[in-house]
Amino acid sequence: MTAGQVSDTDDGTVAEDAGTRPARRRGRGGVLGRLGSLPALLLYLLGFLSPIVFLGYESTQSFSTLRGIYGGGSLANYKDVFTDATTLQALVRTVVISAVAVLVSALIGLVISFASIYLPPVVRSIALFCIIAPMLVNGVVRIFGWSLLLTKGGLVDQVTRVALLGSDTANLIGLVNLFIGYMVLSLMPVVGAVTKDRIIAAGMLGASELTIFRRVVFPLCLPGLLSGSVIVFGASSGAVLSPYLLGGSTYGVITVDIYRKFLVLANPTAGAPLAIVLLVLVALVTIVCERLVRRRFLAWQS
Amino acid sequence: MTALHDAPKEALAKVMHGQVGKPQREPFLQLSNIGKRVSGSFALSDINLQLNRGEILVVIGPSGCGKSTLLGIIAGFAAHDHGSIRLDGTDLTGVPMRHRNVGMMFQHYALFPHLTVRENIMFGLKAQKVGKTEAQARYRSALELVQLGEYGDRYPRQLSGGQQQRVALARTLVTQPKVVLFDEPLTGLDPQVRQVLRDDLTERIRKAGVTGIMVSHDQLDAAFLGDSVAIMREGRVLQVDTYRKLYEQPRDAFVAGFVGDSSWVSGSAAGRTSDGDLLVRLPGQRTPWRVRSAEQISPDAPVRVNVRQAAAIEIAVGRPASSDQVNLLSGSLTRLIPLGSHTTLWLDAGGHRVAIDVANDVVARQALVPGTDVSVSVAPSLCHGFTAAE
Repeated sequence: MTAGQVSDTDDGTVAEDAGTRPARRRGRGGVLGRLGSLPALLLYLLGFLSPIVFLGYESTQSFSTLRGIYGGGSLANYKDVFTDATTLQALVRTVVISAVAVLVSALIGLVISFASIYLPPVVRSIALFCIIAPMLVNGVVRIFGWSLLLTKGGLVDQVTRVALLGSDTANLIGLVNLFIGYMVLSLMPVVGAVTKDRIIAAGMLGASELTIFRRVVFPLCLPGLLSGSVIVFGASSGAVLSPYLLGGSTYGVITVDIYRKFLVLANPTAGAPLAIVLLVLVALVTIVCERLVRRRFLAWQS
Repeated sequence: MTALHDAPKEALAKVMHGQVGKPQREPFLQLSNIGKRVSGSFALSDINLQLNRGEILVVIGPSGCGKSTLLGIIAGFAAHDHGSIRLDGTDLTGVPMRHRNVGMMFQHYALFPHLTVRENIMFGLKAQKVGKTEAQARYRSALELVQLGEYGDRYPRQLSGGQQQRVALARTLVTQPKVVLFDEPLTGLDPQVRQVLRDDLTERIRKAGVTGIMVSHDQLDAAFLGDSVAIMREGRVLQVDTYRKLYEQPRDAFVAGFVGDSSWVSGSAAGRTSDGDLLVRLPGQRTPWRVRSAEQISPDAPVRVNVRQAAAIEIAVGRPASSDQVNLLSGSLTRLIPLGSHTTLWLDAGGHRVAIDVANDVVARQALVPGTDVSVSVAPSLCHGFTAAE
């Protein structure tokens, strides 16, 4: 050790090989390890990938009520998706509603998770139970519950004179109620990093409340917000139950459209391209969040 | 810690130029009659402390004695019910935390894990809108002070505990606070690391000329760092003195027991000697002891005597050579604890259980083993008598 340099062992505590960290790679377990993952890979291919491949195949076929599905192998169905104004509107609405659902769940989720760390332990576990328990109840039950509350003549209508059933708001309420648990569960582990000490430290260093939120609280919550958002966005844009039951059978989001085409019109070749488009959309959002945002803002975690 | 001595002096001066100054008449920091009630009882009462520029005050006491609350009050994140805090001529009452110009180093450093070392240190400068050139200069000096030059782009989790502590120190000092509060920055470390980090921290804050208050429950922190030391218990300050004075002249039984290693024997008062020492009769011991005591103790009143572990003057196997030796304690050894630099003997003397430190060669020379009957003579100046009501 030269004079100007301070080594880790100086302090007695050795940082997890701080100096060589970037060079370290996670072991993959060699040939045997790769062979060992084969069953899982097969299961993945059969269980998850094959339905999508089949869906992709269907999306390129033609359909008539008399002949059913017959050969084609063209992208004409996709052309229909992107030229039909109603479908495009449904796509946009799906994205917007899901984004709003993400925002609302993030806001409520932040409040709940922060409240929970400042609550006494007993109250905290009760609060957590109240969040988790509904997730164990089937969504159909919960959404029917909401439809009773929001319908014309329902409790909300009686109190506020607004019957929300059939509106975007009703769908939004349903989506948030269905998926906020995932947001809270993603946030719970990260809000612990926002300790009282860190907030006080920031304040004593001269930061205003706004700066503390912007530069300390929010960035520390970002990892949880990010994974929570990806889940809530994916789940919301793929949800059928809430839009169908609270928005109505002709409610203009893509999932209701897919549902109608598959099950009402019994035309899988019209539904399949929509499903593929939705899939690609969600995949894109996930990839952007996981790759770009995580790499840009969450380098401190890796 | 050889590297420490290379910290350039001008760097230190630059970082801390706000703090190096001429001695002042009025104390730099003055706490007067600070009191705080929590659900009816006093969490703090009548705290009067003062601190001159460039001095370190170490507040020690058992957990829950109110020392952390006191720091919170000075820092401004805890409220007090009455009393005043004056810092450098200004009353801090009602001044929000971020405008107090008080720095703080936390027990677990409270670094921002999502910011690099550089961003951590620059955090305060940015928040206080320090100009770019000035901020750069101060950042560089702070980094030099803690000798983390090449670590600017690392994240806290990539650093060792000691390096994290230094980042925390740099982050605190770079904003040039008038007073730095240290909230048990050494607690929760294992003893060897603790010792190394204590040395390191001591040297750095001494070199930087920090005015500071450190809260700790470890008296070694006080011995190493404190220009003065305050002992707190149950929301009160019992005594403020240098560590040495606390050790040699404890004003209170709690202080006597808390500072340094010692054990207790009980007896009853038997008047005073001509030079003011209290005479104490100990059951089972022939001659009364001479002990220091500032308390008013009436004859025959029960007295507890604190005996410093380091008080032994002489130790003899069997009966004492002569009976005119002071403060004799005769009994048999129950345990010998070899501590490297010395050996601690536990002595059972007619119901008094006393620990005494002796040099290792004494143990060897006198062939001391458990069960050996010995007579120990202890120095009156290291025995302190207190009323036994305590």
